[in-house]
Amino acid sequence: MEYFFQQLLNGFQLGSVYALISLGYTMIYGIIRLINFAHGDIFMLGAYFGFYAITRLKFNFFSAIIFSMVLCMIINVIIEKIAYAPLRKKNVPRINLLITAIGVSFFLENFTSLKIIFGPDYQPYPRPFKIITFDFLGLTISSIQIIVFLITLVLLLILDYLIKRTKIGLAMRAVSYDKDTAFLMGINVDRIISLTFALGAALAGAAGVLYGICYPQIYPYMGVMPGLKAFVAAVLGGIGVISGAVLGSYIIGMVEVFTAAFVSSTFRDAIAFAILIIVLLTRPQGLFGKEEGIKL
Amino acid sequence: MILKIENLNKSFGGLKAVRNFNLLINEGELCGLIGPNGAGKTTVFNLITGFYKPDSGKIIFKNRDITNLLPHQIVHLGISRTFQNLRLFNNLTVLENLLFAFNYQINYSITESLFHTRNFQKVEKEIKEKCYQFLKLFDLEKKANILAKNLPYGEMRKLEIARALALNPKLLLLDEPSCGMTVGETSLLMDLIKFIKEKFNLTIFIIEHQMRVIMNLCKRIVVMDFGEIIAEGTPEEIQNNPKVIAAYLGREYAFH
Amino acid sequence: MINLYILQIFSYACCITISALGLNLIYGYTGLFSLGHASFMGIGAYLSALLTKSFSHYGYLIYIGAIIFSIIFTFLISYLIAIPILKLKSDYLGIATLGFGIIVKVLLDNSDKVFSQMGGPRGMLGIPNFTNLPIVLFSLIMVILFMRNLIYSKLGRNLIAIREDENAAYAMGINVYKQRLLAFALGCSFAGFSGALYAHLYCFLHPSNFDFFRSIDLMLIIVLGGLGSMSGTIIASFLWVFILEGLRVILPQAILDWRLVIYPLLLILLMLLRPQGIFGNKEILWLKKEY
Repeated sequence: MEYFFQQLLNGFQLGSVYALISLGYTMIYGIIRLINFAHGDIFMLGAYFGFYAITRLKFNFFSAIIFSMVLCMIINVIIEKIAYAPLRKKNVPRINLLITAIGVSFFLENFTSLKIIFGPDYQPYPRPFKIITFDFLGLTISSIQIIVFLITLVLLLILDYLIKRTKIGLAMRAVSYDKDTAFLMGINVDRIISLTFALGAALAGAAGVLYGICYPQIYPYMGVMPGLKAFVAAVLGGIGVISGAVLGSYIIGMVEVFTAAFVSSTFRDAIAFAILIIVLLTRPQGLFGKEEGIKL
Repeated sequence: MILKIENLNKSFGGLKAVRNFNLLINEGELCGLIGPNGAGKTTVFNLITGFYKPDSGKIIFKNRDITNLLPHQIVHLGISRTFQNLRLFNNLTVLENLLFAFNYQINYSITESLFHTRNFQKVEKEIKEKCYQFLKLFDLEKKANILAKNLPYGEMRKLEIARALALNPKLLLLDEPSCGMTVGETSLLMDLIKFIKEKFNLTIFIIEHQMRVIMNLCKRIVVMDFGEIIAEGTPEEIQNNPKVIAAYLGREYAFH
Repeated sequence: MINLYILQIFSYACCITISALGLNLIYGYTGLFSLGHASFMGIGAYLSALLTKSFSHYGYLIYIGAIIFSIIFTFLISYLIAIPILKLKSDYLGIATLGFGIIVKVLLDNSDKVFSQMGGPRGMLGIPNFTNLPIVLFSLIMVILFMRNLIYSKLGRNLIAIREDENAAYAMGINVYKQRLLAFALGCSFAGFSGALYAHLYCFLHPSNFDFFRSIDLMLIIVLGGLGSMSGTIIASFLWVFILEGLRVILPQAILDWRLVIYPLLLILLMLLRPQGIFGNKEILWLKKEY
């Protein structure tokens, strides 16, 4: 029983990281209908930026997170401006946008694999603070887990405030609902899209650093699987729905940890996707998404 | 009697788009369906052609219950339609648009198409000839190899009617065929509709916004408002029906 | 040595072309977004290899039997999978097929627990080397011929109608769902065919040969070549194989790393400058349509 609750805690930890990544997926999909395959690589960049901030620049943990978030934001906005914006203006089919995202993803992975950049090898991640473990009702909680939960919570609250309470959030919702009408209402659609990419990247950057301290090993291809999983979580929750992405992430995190603990760790990817397929077949709009009617 | 609709109901969320709809259409008739915007006319078409499933009620075509059939099955039985906002295959040529209408009538097997056998080639040749006959009839033969999206609007409408005809229907449903046409084009369209009705021995059910067209074409007109039939009769009866006048005056012309 | 290597690359390119043509049938012609195509190649490859390895004393007879069996099996299994999955549309279909691909990869990774010969994560060794250049070339030509004939028949027109406008296709009396199932299963059986050829070309199979990245590669090839163009797919497949694989022996390692950096940049540039792919939906030579 204790083992079970311990795994629940681990699932919660993994789910938190997924939640931060999947929010970017869901927001970007919501706003330009793009499965941004490069998002997992932004997460990877975040992990590396945090790594260098701590090891080379001797930043403390929190400034390393902020540093990584800011750099990821800047990079993602540049990517959006260079790679996606010209395509959107040309009104090309959506598949081209997707292939471009895949191209960006490959580029980030292979470019950072170069020896003069990050190098292709695994790097051990530094632990910038002391790890203290607490015993609580027979469970072992480490300071890492508490920090991950707290940071995730704070970021989620900030995002929620941004989207629900500010003008920018209102504009974002308007653009994701109907781009053309939003434009007619005087919203600067391009700026809102850039902003969405920036927000998503900031969360992914933070997730990268958190992932690094939880699972202390990083490498240029580390973003692929967590990226896919976070995307699965976003779809599971109902793509475009913020709260859905968070809940979906925790579900995927739990499923993965429990499969590894009780079945076999080799099956964890398969089970997560099997659940996704089953959910999609019974509720194509995801667990918390709204149903769309047929248009004739 | 070719089509019989009994107590048809359909709602979307809270909105009752069609309620207690009853209608008989006789063989060889040219029946009109009018009503203000949002009265539920196109929904009736979508129900007949199987694109929507009714909540309750029955649709009987040539003594056969077609209520729960799928759209393509209904086409096979002999009902074809055009769409209010055009559904041509825009990126394909005019000829290809017509060719597709023959697909379900072709009966060579997959094996025959794998090897392009002599029978396959014969069938394909016949179909192409038929396509050109239709194009000639609609005065589109010179444009056979133009992409459908590059046609002028009036010709797109004509092509869609030609395509629906090529499906070899008994009952043709036209959803606002004159929409977006000039006055001259509309007159030609009216002649065309009368002509094809005789030539192909059709029954036609038509939704139309322009009163001039509907009064000229139809012997019998059905008027809908808020999902219900509010009047039915000859053009004269409809023009003088107080309910109809109220329905139109009350909504569309109130602020002109 | 180099010649032998080039022959092998050429045979590999033929295999990839067959797979890619199948995906083009599914996505390019019918518009069904599939991100799990390589997994069907994997199913065909592992299945045929299991057969030839188990009954190797029958020689070429079992090879041909295994290929035919792989084609039929991938057709049936993809048909069964498609029955529920094709209820999903566009991106959701892509995600579901992607998920299927990952599940297949995981199953292959664990395959040694059921069939020890399949090797699981260590890879499957000792597959007899039956495939040679004449065989793949002949197979490729047959596939192209069949596909061309199918595309320019009632079936091909049905598929194109569905891709262009689903509702209009219904209004043309086309059984959209059934035709989609058929297109999906046919396209996947191409992949099964190509997998069976591939298995007996390199004589070694590994689950990572058929993972998510391979599926993405196939998608890249057909978009680069031009969706709905057979000529485009054929040329893009060969270009892709020769540029990415072929250069491996010639260039030194330092430049090879940069090759993987430049390739995605070219991809991004091409998407911008030539969004419709090399060929658009045009065809060349006798692949042109007859009407």
